Amino acid sequence: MGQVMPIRVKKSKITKNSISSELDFLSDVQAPKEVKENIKNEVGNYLLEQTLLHVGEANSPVDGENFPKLSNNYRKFKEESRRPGIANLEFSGDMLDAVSVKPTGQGIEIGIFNNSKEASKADGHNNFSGSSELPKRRFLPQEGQGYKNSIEAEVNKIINDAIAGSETIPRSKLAEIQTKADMWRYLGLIFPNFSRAEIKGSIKRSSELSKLFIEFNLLRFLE
Amino acid sequence: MAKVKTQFAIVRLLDKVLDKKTADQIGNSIIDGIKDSVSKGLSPVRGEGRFKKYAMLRDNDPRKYPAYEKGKNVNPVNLKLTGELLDNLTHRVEKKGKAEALIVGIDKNASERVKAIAEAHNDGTLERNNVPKRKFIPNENGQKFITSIERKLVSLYEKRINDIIKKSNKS
Repeated sequence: MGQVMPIRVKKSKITKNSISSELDFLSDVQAPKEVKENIKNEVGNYLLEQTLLHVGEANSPVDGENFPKLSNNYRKFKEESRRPGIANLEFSGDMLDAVSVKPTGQGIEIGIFNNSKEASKADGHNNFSGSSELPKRRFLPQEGQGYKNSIEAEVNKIINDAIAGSETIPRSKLAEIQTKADMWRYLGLIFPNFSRAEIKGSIKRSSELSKLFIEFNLLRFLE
Repeated sequence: MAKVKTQFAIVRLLDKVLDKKTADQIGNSIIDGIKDSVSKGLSPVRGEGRFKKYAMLRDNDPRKYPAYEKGKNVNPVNLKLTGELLDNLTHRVEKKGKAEALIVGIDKNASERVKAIAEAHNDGTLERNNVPKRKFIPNENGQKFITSIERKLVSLYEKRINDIIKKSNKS
């Protein structure tokens, strides 16, 4: 069984001052505490960036969601106000400036916190409250939803690479490996929760690990 | 008058794995990533976040920049007026001591005007003139590109390793 787990929306929240999605991507992951903290930081940054990059091109980062185009009237109004006539959720820029992430026990929470004005705008687009009359342009996932496949796939790689990067593989052990079967036996002990594909990928993506495997002529076994 | 610094970042040192061809691919990927991120008002430098607003919105003054620039939108803050700044982003391989390094930044042959604009944005040299720092090249110690850009480089590195494996298993 691999480390791959989808990003689960544990809870989507809406209050007077905040709107957020609490995401769990670590509860099934075996790793030391400091590695998990590092993963939360990396994944948090990545999800915030992907949210802003997708929204910036009038796309949703949420799987199954898209942004309806602006009405003709509003598009003209935006263009006359010297903004692009696309649904990039930016007029003053204050709402997008307010989106942030914070670490939680098993992942992160992404949204707008302690800012009633911007949280209210964001709910207008995401409609966590159920009372928005605006066209839905969701940039935060609700329970039962996930991120687009490409985003989820990269998050899984980030998690696996962080775990692989934290393991020390003694050179003396690598020197003893003579066959492909030896290698997989050993790597299966080092990475017990990774599938073979995940082990291959993490080694190939790591400059340190891949160079060790080149040095001991083991890269050929990773085909 | 002090010479304007050329803004650049040392991305990676070349070695047997990171050869010139891969460095070229990585360099192109970084430039694409910088342009994509900047076009949406997001700094491509980790920790910097979204760019500060232009003066018209920041100071709530309809006379301020970019009010007087015909055709220039008020947002997103995309560091683009004529396009010359981002057109002068380039990558190259340079000797750094005994090693070779992949460098990404403003072309060293760019005009002094372009270099000055890049420095003003990247180092915030015009803060006193109400032009905020808007970092687009990680040129300070310890600075990195955003995770979204770094992950593309990791993917290119993986492709290079796959090529090495294929070649060595054929021979």
